[in-house]
Amino acid sequence: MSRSSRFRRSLQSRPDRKLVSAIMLFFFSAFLLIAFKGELHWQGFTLAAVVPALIYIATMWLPRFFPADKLLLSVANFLCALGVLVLYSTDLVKGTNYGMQQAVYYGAGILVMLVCILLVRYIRYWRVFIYIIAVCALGLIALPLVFGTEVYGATNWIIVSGISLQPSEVVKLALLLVLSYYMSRRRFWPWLIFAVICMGVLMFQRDLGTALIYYATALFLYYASTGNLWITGAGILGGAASAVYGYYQFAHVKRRIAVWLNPWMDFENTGYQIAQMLMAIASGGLFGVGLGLGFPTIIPVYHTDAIFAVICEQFGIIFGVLILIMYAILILRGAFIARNARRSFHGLLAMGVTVMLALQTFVIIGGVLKLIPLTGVTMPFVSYGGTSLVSCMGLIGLLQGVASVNQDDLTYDYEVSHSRVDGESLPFASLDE
Amino acid sequence: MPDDIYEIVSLAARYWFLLLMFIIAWRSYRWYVKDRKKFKRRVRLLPDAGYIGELVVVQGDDILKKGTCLPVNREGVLGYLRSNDVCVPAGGIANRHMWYTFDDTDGLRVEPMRGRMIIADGEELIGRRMRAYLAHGSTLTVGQAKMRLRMFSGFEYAGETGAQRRPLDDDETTLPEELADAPHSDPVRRMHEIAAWQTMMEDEENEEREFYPPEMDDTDEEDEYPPPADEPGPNAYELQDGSQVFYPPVDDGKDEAAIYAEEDEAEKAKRALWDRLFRGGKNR
Repeated sequence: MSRSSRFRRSLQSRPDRKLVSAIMLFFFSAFLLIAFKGELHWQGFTLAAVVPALIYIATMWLPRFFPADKLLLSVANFLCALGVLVLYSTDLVKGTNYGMQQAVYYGAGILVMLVCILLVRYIRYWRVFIYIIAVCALGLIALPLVFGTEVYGATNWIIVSGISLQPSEVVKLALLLVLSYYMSRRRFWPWLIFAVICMGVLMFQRDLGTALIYYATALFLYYASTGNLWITGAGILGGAASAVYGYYQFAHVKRRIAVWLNPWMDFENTGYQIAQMLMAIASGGLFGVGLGLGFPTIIPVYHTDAIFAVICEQFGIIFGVLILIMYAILILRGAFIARNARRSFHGLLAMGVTVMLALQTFVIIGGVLKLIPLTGVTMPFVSYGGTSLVSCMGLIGLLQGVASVNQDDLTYDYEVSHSRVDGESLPFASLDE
Repeated sequence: MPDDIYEIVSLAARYWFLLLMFIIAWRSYRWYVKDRKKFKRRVRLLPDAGYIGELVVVQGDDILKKGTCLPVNREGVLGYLRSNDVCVPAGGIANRHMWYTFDDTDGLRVEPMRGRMIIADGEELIGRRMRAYLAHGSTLTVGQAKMRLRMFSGFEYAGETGAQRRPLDDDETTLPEELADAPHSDPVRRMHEIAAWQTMMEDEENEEREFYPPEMDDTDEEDEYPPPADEPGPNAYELQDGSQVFYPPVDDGKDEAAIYAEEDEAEKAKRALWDRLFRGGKNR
């Protein structure tokens, strides 16, 4: 058999290799292209080597040590690397250093993901951990009240020796663990008190977007664990009522709604961001203006909130739709993992991660597309922000841990019911093949 | 690279990126769909997937009949409500009575909820901090229901506490001759043994034989059912082959029974309403 046909056959039998090779090729060529813009950029060449290597390590090398869902890993790593790429392309225009920083955060995110996978895989009895996690999370989320820095109207940042942290992003992981632990044991008050304190602190810090995501996730998980329509419906009504109350009570909420309804009304001031985002998406057209071209940095906070508009401008609307499809696959896969979990704690945890990522994606992309009012949350995996990226990778780690336990259980079931009977070895080594 | 040349290259490269993105999205989608189908096929081969065994009711009441099998998953809550993972609708059982999880090495770990009591292999456990491990054949008493854990094939070896793993003696089974020398781990032999064990479970007379090790057979004196054969009650019924079958005593005091029935009905209606309104019973 010739070498090329052997290579083709190995690709045919391995969907993970097919997908990961395409992803690595994409980023290698994209970073190489950017590195040639103007004079040679050595950072670009470095990233062209480092980012595909990170993708390979996270998707092909790590799963050698435990069963893992490689599809989930591939999609999440693709999105992370896309964030690095887009940020680096805007760095060359603006002279910032977001791309390299994001690449470092991406590497750190892979480590955090590994830690989360191991936690879910090897911790069987969570009681003590949950106590510790809950206390630490409450302390962490309250920190900005004391040492907080105000960024875009919300006091949800703390700066520790030059590094800025957003505790509400880290507390997301803790919230999901606490909610799913107590819900799986059908205990009502502990998780409710914890969630209410978290959301109260967030409201106090005026971080309304994150509070909304916390609330909706808690409500959805409650429905998933009990199937109780009455209380879930009451929760939805309560949320709607508090939104209406917020509209009449807070001037900035009113202003945001007005800007959302008609951004051209006050184009120079409040409507400037939305208008610029829409113009960027429109100027990109179907195929985009080209990587590294266009004027994406005109949009205010192009690197966090409006990064989807930057992607649409540089790569085009079709590419944007394909990115949404990637998010959809990620979410469907998460729901698939949650449904197949054997323990209710794992099922709820996986469902919570999925719902949280889905809500966050919907809120920010809907905001950018002027489908819903814009709120300041990050686009999962893609937006600039170390805490956000690391916590999203942590979420994927939790999901991955559940997938890994599912795979172990399935293999065990198969072993006890089949291989003993006819003496054959397992026909599959992992779920992904 | 000069800006004008870079622009031309970049404009051309966007089609290349779009093509790669198409490939990435398509391959992800195909992988997702194929994997889901493959998973479904595999799970169809494993009818017991997700369950580690079942609790067989050996003593129940009017609603929870004797012999009912309640499948047990790897982790969950046992209680009265239908929203629980194991719903045991018998008297004396709280809405959420007990939490359990399966441990590959120790067996089924059970922990009562706060202020609840269970009896696991004769050991009384009260409150949240107590725990016990059940193994294949262990008994569990929750409220008025007394159940015995039967682990599915492959799981019966889990657990060294509780009812210790004890392969059946040859005279207790109806093993075919060719299997008499087979090791106890042999699946076919194991299948025969489990079948024999089930037959014994269902057979009242066989329960009186010391099938379980005596230290594990710790049934309460008050709970003994059926009554000893030498004291046939009014409900004893003799079959043609001379063996006797017992039925629970029927209370002829109709007034009293009617009062109890009314109270039960009212209690049941109240409980059903409460379930439907606040506990998600209706939407399960």
